[in-house]
Amino acid sequence: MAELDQLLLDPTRLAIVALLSAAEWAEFGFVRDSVQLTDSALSKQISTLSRNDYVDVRKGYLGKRPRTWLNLTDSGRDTLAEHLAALQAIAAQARSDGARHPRE
Amino acid sequence: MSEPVNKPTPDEAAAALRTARESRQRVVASALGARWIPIVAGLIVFGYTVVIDLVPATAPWLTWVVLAVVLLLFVLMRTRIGGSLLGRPVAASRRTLPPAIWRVAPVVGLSLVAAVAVPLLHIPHGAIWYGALAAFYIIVLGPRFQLWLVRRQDKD
Repeated sequence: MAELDQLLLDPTRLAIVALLSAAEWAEFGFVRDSVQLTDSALSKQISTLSRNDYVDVRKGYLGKRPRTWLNLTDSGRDTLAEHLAALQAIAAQARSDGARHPRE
Repeated sequence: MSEPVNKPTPDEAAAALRTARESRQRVVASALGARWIPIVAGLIVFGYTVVIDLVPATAPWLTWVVLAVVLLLFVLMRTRIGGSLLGRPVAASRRTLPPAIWRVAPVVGLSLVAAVAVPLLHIPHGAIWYGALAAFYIIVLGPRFQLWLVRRQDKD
């Protein structure tokens, strides 16, 4: 049975990882705007995810301007898939319980 | 020993699944939503068909120029620095997008119909008409068709 992941129980981290799961890579600024975090708040979340090998961080320059690109690692992708499967199981279980014991 | 995991309630699980789905859709919408890319691609196709119809002698070398430009744009868009240079902050994963065959099928179909219809019906400046139709698809219908494919795929 699929297992929940402790790190991904945090909604912000789940949103970041789910966002990156649909991307080959994404600019730091795009992720920041999409999940509506400040630069420092996103940096902290990315550090946590990177330390746990969920996210790969690459830095580079566009002209003289520094850029940071993020992408999900294979293990991050696998963990997300398992976490989503576990969430789906919880939601499905609740639906089937609700169908079996309708409110009186 | 691993930490005990707090099991979310069914409502929290449903909310988390919704968050994940919306996040994925945001990437695809953004990747497909770079409006200038289909506009430039459509204009290149239309311009190419106009020139080769009106000045057929240019066709051999112009074809190579157009192919080189399209290839360069394609390669740039698949790289991080190239994507950023072209104002594209995210590249959608191939896993997320519908299969390439579905995305190019309408253009291929249109080309086949034009290849049969233009000589058969003796349409004057048939290449230009084809270019206009292809450009209309690439600029207007293509992005909508791709978004529709993605949303349909997400429901399955």
